[in-house]
Amino acid sequence: MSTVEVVDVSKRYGNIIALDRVSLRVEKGEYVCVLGPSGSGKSTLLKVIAGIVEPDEGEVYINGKPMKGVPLRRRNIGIVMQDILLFPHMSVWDNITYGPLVKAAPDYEEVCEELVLTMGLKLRRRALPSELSRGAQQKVAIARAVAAGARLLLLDEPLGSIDQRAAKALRVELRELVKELGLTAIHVTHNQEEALSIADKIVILRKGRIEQIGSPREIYENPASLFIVRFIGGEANFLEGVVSHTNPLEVDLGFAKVRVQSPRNFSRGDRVVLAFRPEHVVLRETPGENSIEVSVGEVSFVGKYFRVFAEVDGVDLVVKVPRREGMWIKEKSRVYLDISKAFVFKYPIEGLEAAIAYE
Amino acid sequence: MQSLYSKALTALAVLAIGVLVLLPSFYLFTFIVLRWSEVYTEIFNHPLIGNTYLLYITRYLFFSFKLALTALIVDLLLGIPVAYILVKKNFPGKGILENLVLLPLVIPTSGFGFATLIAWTAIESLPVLLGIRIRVDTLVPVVNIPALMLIVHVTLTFPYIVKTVSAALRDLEKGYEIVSESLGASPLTTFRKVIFPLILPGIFSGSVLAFARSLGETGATMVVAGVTTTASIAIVKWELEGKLAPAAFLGALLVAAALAVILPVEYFLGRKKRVRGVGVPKELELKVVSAERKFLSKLSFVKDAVSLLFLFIVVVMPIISLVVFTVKYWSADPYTGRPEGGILYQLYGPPNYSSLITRSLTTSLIVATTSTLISLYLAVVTIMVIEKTRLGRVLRALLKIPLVVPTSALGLSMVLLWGPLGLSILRPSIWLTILTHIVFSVPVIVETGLASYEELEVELYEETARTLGANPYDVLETVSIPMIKRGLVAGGLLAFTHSLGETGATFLVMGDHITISTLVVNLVEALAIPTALFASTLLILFSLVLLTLASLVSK
Repeated sequence: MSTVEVVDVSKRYGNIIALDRVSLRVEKGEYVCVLGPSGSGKSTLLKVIAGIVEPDEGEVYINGKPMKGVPLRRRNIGIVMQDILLFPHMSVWDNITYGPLVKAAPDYEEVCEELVLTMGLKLRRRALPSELSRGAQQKVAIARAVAAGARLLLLDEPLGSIDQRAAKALRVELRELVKELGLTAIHVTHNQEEALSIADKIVILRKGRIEQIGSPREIYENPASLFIVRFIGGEANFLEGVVSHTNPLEVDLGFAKVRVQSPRNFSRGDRVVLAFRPEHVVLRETPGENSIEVSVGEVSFVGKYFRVFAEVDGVDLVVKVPRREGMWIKEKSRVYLDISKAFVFKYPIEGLEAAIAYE
Repeated sequence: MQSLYSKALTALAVLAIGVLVLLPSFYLFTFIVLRWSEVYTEIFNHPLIGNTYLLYITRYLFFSFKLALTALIVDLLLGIPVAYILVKKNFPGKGILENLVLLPLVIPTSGFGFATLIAWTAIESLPVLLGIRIRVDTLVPVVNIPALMLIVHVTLTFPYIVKTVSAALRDLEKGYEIVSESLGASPLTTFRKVIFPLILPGIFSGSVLAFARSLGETGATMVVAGVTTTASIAIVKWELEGKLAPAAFLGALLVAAALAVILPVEYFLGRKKRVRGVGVPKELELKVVSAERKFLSKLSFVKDAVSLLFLFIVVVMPIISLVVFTVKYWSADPYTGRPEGGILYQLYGPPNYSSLITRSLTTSLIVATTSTLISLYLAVVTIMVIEKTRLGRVLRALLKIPLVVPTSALGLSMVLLWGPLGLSILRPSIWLTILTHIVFSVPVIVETGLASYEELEVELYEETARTLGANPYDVLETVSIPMIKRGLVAGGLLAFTHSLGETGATFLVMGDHITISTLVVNLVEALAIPTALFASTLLILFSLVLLTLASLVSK
């Protein structure tokens, strides 16, 4: 088990800022997912921790020891990448035993024997990697990293090149393995569903900065920024307004006033944005206390739920309604939307569009 | 109608390539079979000298193979680190280093051989100043090969290794190295167990080219050889002395032996199977790994420095020496001070070498231009035949042969095939020289052309053009040729410089129409040092300009 501490790390590639004063602490035995859109610097963060890339500023500590100048091969880190990268000219068994062998461990085969048993890997040992499925190859790659004695796994989109169904099974196995062997894992992904389902802690990166660190539930239920509302879940609705009353908080949207709750403090006259996920609002046939009237456009049936496209005051909204509760909704009708559970954010200085943009 | 017409055209094209390019590579065998009784008496059972020729032939062949093999081993030891530096490191001047490495591939060999001779043997040269006297008869210990000969062969062949190995390294996924390191492997272990097996095909194909080049090298070898004779030199000398039977027999053996070494390697490469690790006993493996772990990675810069220093000494130093001596000898012999020993006197004085140089330079340029243009035309047809017909794969494999046939054997074959003893169409002259240069130019251009054809996926665009209603000729003219133009031009420049510098074959086929690169050899042998200096400098500067042009074009 290892702890990892990243302190004020910055990395620039020419004019591009890949990491901007990133600090992060990973506890022993934690499964941490680093989540962010492409170009957010998450792979660079992983490379800095591994020592493949030297940070311009800042320091990385593993188990409390500064890692500056420590080469990759002495960091005891297991690296698992999207491209899997099993050595194509070696058999599966030679790949797994590679780590102990190159460290000149005399009993290298017994060590691996034990590990393969623990992992429940059923393998044709003489097979070449190319004869296995991508999922099986990635399992071997993980076994190879663990067999080399890694206590910290760095996983860079490990499931990215595996077909979806196998990836879903493998991600559960991956978490179980890490917990069972008592490893620490930092798993980089752009797939928010993957991160939410397996992480103990999620780190959200955007444009080289950390936007939020928290458990999956914290991230989902209490997002720290407009960007996170949109990024987790993939789509979100935004309505602009002005605070018309505090305590209880009331926002004037121009066409209606709604009461909302927020952990943050606002004062009267603040420009704010109400953000809500498609599944976080309730549609009603009749007006209620905190509802706004919207006109329904298209209603499409997606199996478990209806996707309802609606419009209010020139803003397009999308709402997900469970199948049983949405049978009554007709296209081209007017319904009422309860948005009292919306998140409230200060109107961003850079503008709403820029605040939610991926890059 | 259309298909019959195109079939006839294809047949004609294949026939042309077969006769012009492929036949000469094999004709020596035919010649020996046809005149077996004559060859037999000359070599095995001569009334006066018995089997003396056979003894010579085996000795020369053995020596050539020993030289080629030793050069190859040095090539690999120096070439792989240089390839590594070129791919993995970034530093100012890397572009210059890249060009420097490729220089020996395009430099006229006789001129370069002379430059090497000067650089190592002149009284004020570096090795002499350091107290290491290297003369033409200084032998390398253990292998008993003249030192200068080995140096020249290594210089002229190591770029093949650097070229193919650096291409293989570039294609290699960088992650393998990172993963291996993260698993705890030392850099040496990573190289031995991961990188080396994965770039092995590249090493093999480079080795094939280097080995073949060394076997066939004539121009530079003749200049530095002194009394030592290689198989290629023997072929040239015997042919010029009219001893055709032993020359042909030696040539055929050389070609056969080269093919016997090279074809299995090519076959192995063509199967594209991965090399599986060789089973090494566990204890030994562990010992090797521990040893590799103890090796300080800090020492690796020594290896880099040594290979770069070597590169400088064998490639740059000779050229600098050549230019320096040309300047020294410009108006008078620097040692005696006599103007008769100066370049100006020899060029414009009573010896009047300037007209000889002008004439041979003109001949060379005519030969290079004509053969390159004809080869370009033939190459386009060949590329189409290779890509469009079922014969393609066979033809492609066959076209590798002229690239590995030693050039002196090729020249002899050309004389015997087209000359008075064979078809009696061409005597040794500028025309036969052009025909000979076409033989090795076509495969070079085809290779680069095919590479860009496949890289740019021209076939897809051709199909698109066909669906838009273009006929095959339109497609060729408007899509295929413009798309692969860069590849063709690059190949053409390569062929042009080859032609300019070719010596081994040219000696045999040129007759009285002497070319500039063969003139350099003759001048050295006639001890007309000042003129040789001038001609070599001219030749090398000329090819440097061409190389610069080529790198501008390929950018």
